[in-house]
Order: sequence, then C-alpha cells, then structure tokens
Amino acid sequence: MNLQRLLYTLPLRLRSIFRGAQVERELQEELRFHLDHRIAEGVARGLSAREATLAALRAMDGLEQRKEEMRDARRIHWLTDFVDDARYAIRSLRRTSGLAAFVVVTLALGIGMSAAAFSMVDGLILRPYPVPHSRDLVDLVSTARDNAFDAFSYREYVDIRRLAKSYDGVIASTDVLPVGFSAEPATPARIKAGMLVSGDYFRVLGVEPQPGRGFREEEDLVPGRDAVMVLGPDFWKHDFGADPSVVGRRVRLNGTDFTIVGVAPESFPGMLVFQRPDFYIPLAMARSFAADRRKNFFEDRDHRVLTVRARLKAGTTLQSARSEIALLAQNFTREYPALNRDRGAAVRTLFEMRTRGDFSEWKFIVVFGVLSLVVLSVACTNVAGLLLSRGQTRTREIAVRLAIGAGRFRVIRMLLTESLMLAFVGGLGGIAVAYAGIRFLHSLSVPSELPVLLPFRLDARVLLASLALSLVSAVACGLAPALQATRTDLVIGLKAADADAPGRRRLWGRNALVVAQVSLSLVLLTAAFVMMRGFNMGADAGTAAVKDHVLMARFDPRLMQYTEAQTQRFYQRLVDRARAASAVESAALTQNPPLGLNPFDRIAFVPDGFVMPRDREAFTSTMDTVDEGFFETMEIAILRGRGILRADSADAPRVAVVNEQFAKHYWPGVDAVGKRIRADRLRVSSAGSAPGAADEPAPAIERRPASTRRSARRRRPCARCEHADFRRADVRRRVPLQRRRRTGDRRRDRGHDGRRGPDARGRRIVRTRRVLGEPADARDRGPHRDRRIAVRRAAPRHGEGRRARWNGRDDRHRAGPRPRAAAQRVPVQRRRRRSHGVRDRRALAAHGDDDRHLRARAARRTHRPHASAQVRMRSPLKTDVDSRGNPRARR
Amino acid sequence: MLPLVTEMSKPTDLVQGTLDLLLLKLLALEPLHGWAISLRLRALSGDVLQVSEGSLYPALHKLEQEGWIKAEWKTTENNRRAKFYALTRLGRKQLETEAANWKRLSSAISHVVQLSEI
Repeated sequence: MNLQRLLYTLPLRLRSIFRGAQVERELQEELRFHLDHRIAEGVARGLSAREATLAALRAMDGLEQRKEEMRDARRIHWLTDFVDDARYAIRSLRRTSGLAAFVVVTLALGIGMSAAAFSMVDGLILRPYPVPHSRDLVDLVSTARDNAFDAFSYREYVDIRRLAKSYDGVIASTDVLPVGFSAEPATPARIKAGMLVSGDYFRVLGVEPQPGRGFREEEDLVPGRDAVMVLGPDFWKHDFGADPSVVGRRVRLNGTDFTIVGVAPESFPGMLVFQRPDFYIPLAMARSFAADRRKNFFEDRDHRVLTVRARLKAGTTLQSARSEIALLAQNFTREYPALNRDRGAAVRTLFEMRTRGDFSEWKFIVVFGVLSLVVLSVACTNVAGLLLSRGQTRTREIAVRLAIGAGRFRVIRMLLTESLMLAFVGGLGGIAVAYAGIRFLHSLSVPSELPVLLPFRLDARVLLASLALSLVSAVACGLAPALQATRTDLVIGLKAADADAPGRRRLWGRNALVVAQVSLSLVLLTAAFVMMRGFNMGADAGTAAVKDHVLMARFDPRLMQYTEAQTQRFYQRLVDRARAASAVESAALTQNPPLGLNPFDRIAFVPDGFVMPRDREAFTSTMDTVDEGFFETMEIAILRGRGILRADSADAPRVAVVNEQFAKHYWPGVDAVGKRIRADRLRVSSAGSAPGAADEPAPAIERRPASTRRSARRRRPCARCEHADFRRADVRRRVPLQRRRRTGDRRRDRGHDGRRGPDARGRRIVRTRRVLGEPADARDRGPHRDRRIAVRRAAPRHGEGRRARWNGRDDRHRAGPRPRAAAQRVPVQRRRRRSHGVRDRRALAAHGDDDRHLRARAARRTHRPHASAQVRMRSPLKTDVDSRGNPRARR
Repeated sequence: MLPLVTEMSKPTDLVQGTLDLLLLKLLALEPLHGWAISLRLRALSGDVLQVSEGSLYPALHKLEQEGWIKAEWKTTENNRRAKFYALTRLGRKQLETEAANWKRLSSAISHVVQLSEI
C-alpha cells in the first residue's frame, strides 16, 4: 500500500525538485486558465472587463497566498527552505570568513580525532568477521581457572565437532605460525605466516577461494597425506603477482612440497584482527609445522592450540549452545580427569572475544575514544561560544525576521543550517585529519616476527561516523546560540541595531559555556598529564638491561627439521663465531631478550622454605633460558653469587638465577644464594636442585611478568662476534636467520651518562662496559623485541635504514651483517639493533685504537658497521629439553 | 483553512475534509479541469455549498501530491490548454474510504438530530 503510494508520489516529488521551473509555469497557467474563464463569465454577465477581473481575483481569496498553499502542497518546502538557508548561510559566513575558518578548523580537529578513534574502536571491537552471515559465528573456548579463553586440543576439537548438535559446522584453526617458505625448492626460504585450518574451514565460513578451490574435507583426514595449501589474497598479489596459474603449483614449506589448490578471495583477509595469514594448510599437515616436539598434535588432549569457531544453526539460541558445550565439557572432565580438571567450555560471541579481559588493547582504545569525544565537546563548546557572540551582532537581523512574521522555529532552523554548514565543512576537514591520524598509526611499526597489521582504516563505516559526528556537533554547537538569538526582545532589537540585549539569562548562557569549556579542558589536561607520567614511569621502569649497541637475530632450526644434535651444534658454532669476531664485544644466547614482545615461558615452582598457601600447589613465574654470556652481554648485574657459567651444562647440577624481586619475596631477609626451588615436571627439573638464588646461574625466575629481568635457565653458548663472521658462519648456511633486529628505544637512548643507576624499583643496574658508539641517526626506533641472538656491537654505519630485514624485499637499507650463506636456506625473520646514542660518538673518539681500526674497516666496506658489537643468541626452547623435560646436553 | 462554507458556516470541524470527498467524487465521474470543477460544484450542490475558488486549487494540488488524482494537460473544446484531473486507482480506494466515513458520520449525526426532535 505504502509502496503503491510511493509509486504515484515519488515521480511528483522528483519532478517538483528537478523540474521546479516547469512546475511553477504550469501552476501559473492553470490559474490563468481559471481566471480567464471567470473574467469571461463576469463580462458575459455585463460587468466591465476591469470589474470582472477584480471580481475574479476577489473570488480567489488572495491569489498569492493560494499560490503559496499550492506550492506547499508539493511537500518539498523542507528542501527548498534548506537550500535557501544554505545559500544564505554560505553568503553570511563568507562575510565573516575568519571566524568561519577558525570554527571549521576547530571542528575538523575534534571530528577528525573522534573519527580516528572510532576507526580504532571499530577495528578492534566492532567490525564483524569478513564472512557472510558473520552474526551466526561464535567462538568456542575452553575455560580454565586462570584462563576463560583457552584454546582446544585437536582431540577435543574432533569430539566437539562430532558431538555438538547446535552448529552448522565447527571449524578449527591455529594461530599464525612462522613457516619457512620457498617458491622454488632451490630458492632461500623466507619466513611467512601460515595457518593450519580444518578441512571445512572455508566451506563453513562461506568463503569461496577464487581462483582454485578451498580444501576438501577428505584432505584433512589422514595426517601427512594431502600436502595442499590455499593462499591468502595479499600474499598471492604481492608474491605471485596475482597470477591465476599458481593453482596447481608446488611450493616448499618447511622443507616439504605443497600444492597450491586455491586463493582466498580479496574480501577474506583472514579472521584475525592483527595478522593476515599468507597461506592456509589443512590441520592434517600439522606435523610439518609442529613447534613443540614434545607434544603430539593429533593425540595429546592437553596440547591446546586450536581456535574453534562454529556457525550456529538457524533457530538455535546462544543459550542452548552454551548449555550444550558445558555438558560436553563435563564429559571431558569425567573421561579425562587428569587433563581436564577444573576445565569447562563456553560459547563466546565476537564481542565477548574482542573485549576479553586478557586482551587489554581494547580498553586503551576505548579510553582513547572517550577522550577524543571530550576533545570534540571542548571544540563544540568553543564554537558555540563564538557563534553566541556572533548571534549578538545579528540581533537586529533576527528581530526583523521575527517581526515580519518568521516563526521562531523557522529562524532557529535557519541558524542551525548555518552551523550545519560549518560542521559539514569541519567534517570534511575532520576526514582529512582522521586520514592523517590513521596514516600515522599505520606508520608505527610493530616489531614482530610476523608482520602485524593495525586494523585501522578509513572506510565507509568511518566516513559514516564522521558524518554523524558532524551532525551531532552542528546541533551541539549551534542549538544554544540559535535559541538564545531568537529570544530577542523585538522592540529593543529593532531599535538598537547592535545593542547587546541586556539580560542575565544571556550572560548566564555564555558563562556556562566558558565554564564547561574550561573544565573539560582541565580534565583533558589532567588526563594527558597522567598518561604522560604513566608512560614515563613505565618507560623508566623499563629494563635493567642494556638497550643500545645490541644486535639481535633469531633462528629457528626447527623449521629446517634439524635434529636436536644439529641444533645444538648450530648454536654452538654460531655463538663461537660471533664471539670470535673482532667487532663484537660479547654475544649470548637467550630465549627471549628483555622487553621482547613474545611472552616468556612460565614455570610452576615451589620455593624451598616458603610456606605455601593452603589452596596452592605451586607458584608460577616467567622464565628464560640463557647461556653464560647473557648477563654480561645484556649488562645485567649479578648482585650476589654468580651468573651462569659455561660449566653449568646439562650434566652439571641445575642452577638458576633469580631476580631481586623474587629473592626478596620468597626468602625475605635471607641470602637467596644456595636456596632451592622445586619446579614442575616440564622444564623445571633443570632448576630443581640448583643453588637457585638471586645471582646464581641457572633458571632465573621472575615473579612479575612485567618486570625486566630475564631468567636464564640453561646454558647456551654465547660469544662475541663480528658481523662478518656472523655472516660467514657456515652454520648459518642451513639454518634460516629468522629475524634480526636492533634494539632501540629512542627515549631512553641516553647512553651511559643518562642511564639511571639503581632504578626506581630497586633493581640495580650496573653497566660495566664502555661501548663504542654509533651515530645518532642510526638509531632504531622499534621497541625492544625478542629473540634469539643478540650481538652487541660498537659502531654501526651511517645512513642505515630503520629496520632491516635480511630476506625481505627491503634489503636496500640492510644494516650490518647479512648472512648471505645462511639466507640461502634459512629465512631471516628479523634483526634489530639497540639504539646508539650521539654520546657514544665521543666514546668512539676516545677509543683511539679501536677507532682507527674500525674506521679502516668501515672504509673497506661501506655500509657496514665499523665497530664491535655484542651478539646475543638463543635457541628455541624445545630443542633444549628432551622428552622428559630434561635439558639436553650439548654435544 | 476552511475549505467549505455552508450556509450556517458553523460546524467547520465536521465539514473539514469533505471538500476532498466532493472533489474525488466529481472526478470519479469524469476527468475535469479546475474551472469545470468549480462550475460543477456550484451546480451540483445547488448553491448550498459555496466552495471558495481560492480553496479549490490548493485542495486539488494536495490530492495530486497525495497520489489520489493525476493531472494531464489537454486541449479544451475552445482550443486552450487546460490541466485535467482524473482519479487514480489509489484515489478510488480513498474515495471509498472517505465515502464510507462520511456515511457513518452523517447517519450518526442525523440519528442524533432525529432523537432530539422526538
């Protein structure tokens, strides 16, 4: 019915809008026709032509008013009025262009910031999965006492898929995994992001790979049989030039040949917020990608690495799905009491997943969003104040309008149109500001092993948000001045042109605005101050470890399917060579460098002599495994006892170094050296019978995950080496250097002089070594990241790029040693260098001999660092420990 | 707006909207232009209902914009262009509704009027 009506009326409305002139002509003609007949009738009755005309017009009851009524009948006056108002607004704003420009800029900043904040909120929390009917998708999680969002193991996933009735499909995927990828068997492997997914992954998500196909379900049945993969769209475009003939091609992943069967569509960048898988592999191929050799992916029910999602059947409520999964979890607990004690399962919506408690980024973003709204409201009050004072200079104009019959509402509408114009232009500017803001956010590089993408973008949703914000701010900043302006006393307004109509109310309104503005600004200032302080404090509390002149590189021989013995040999040679290099001051192996992004391993332990609370069997702490060079290389002072020695091998008594916090907490007032820790069956055995105590070599245990000391659990070789040797190290010919990086924290890059002594938390930092410096422009701005080998070197070269990737396309700015040989086979993930302060140049000059030596070197090889460096290396944990969790001996 | 002026011109609320009904009814018989409608109104209602010519055209335009009648430019017998209005399907439905309403209303009123005379 309504539709039918629209069918009749819509063409009429459109005609009134777009053919206005013709409609008007027709109106005149129609009336003319009527009047002519009326006049003719009058003349026929004997009136004179003049009398007849007058009579005819009289009969119309006011011709012009009737015409207006007829125009109103067209129902488009809201539009014509608006257009008129807008024209008028533009004219009058042009007269006060300075004010208008100021208002526009103010609003642009406010709107732009809020829009940028919205894009963050959207990217992190609101944006749905990029699949059809994403509302039906839910996440299934395992819940433990300390983790309400745990993953499932493969066995559990299979059981859920078999038993759960609420879903149209249950899919599983791993996190993105670093995978050594080579397009041809002969080319050097590069690290790419792969993801293991179940065979029905694409089908259940409703994603149709094109070209090619998705996985067939039988390809995910037999472990190790079907070596097939589906490419992600970005990877396909960048690495294969969007070539449709890739389907059917064979590539090598971690040394195994895989056949590409399809390419995921552009619309499906993946299900993760921060990362995009480069390719997908069936779960059945998990063995080629196993990161943890001690666990059997297909069998171990407690090897929980799978993210499980499901599509709810139509008509199934979340509630019933929840009770079903809880029931399944109870069965698990009954059948596998040892593995599933205190473990449940739950169904979570996307929103719940994105706002989970252990994923804190969203909270920051929400705070940011609220703050930017406050900024916007300050901008609006500011603008409202300006418009208010402008309204006073227009008292007369408005009084005249009211006096000749404009309704108050009509005048308010006119004034609001003016602020709408301002806000609209401000909104356009705001989009530019938001765009710049988002660009800025993207320019922040997150140093990580696999590329991290910030999901913030300027899309239709953000544009819509900007528009809404413009409208809201138009009303927010225009309504009060408009109301005030139309409350004019007509007589006074008409008499005194610019008279400021006296009235407490008006003054009161303006005062209120000023008060609001000042107080909001104050809130913002305070918040900014508190945040800055928090940031500074966090940064100062930063690390006890050295932050400059350290180069790190990470290797993962697992990717090359190295055996344990090969791995050990590899690391031994690597670190020996590194130490032998002249430009390297010291080198060390570690599992995770201080301030790495990767979480530390956790260890459950019982400190001897500590009375355990009744409900706890053990405490947990973070830990790291390091070699004898670690404390020296990272310049972490040993306060009491000794550091890790080379003699602390796998055969030696197990020892640990704990940090000061730990020692104070568990053995207050007592010397921790010589105390013992019993640790869980996994790895802690190595720490178990150690003279574990502060300052003792061995697994260092850190109580507070956020704190800075790293622990050393096991011996690892360490060395001082020179870049060249690094590069020459034939060990590296086979093992990919996964990652190199330099550490650098611009803020803290103060070198020795600026370095704080004992820091605020009482961790003593003693730097013992002079280090040769690097020119300031070579600083790296990336946060300290993790991984395995850290090289400390003295003088890097000039003009070095910020970050260099050894095997990426941006090798151009490569810094430092490129492990040419190594890169042949083993992908470099990343390297980094700790930053180098200006000050260090002086140190460099002071070291006359070194200096000469180094400069000579530099002259020989441009673009190479001309001084020594410190290298830290570590090996992957898993290779350190045998199946019983004991550390393996180095052979 | 007072679309229709009765002799007594009092019960304006009651008569409000009846101009629409009259116009729809007239146009249901045959397509007419504005002048013809005003003549027809005068003749049919026997001068009892005097529709102000001023109200006629706004009312016609309103009906047109509602989609109840549609307009078409045609030449008259004396060879002038005139805007002829005709009922649409939608208008026919509207006419039925309004006529039914009117019947209900007027019978109720005459019922009351008769009661009072007994």
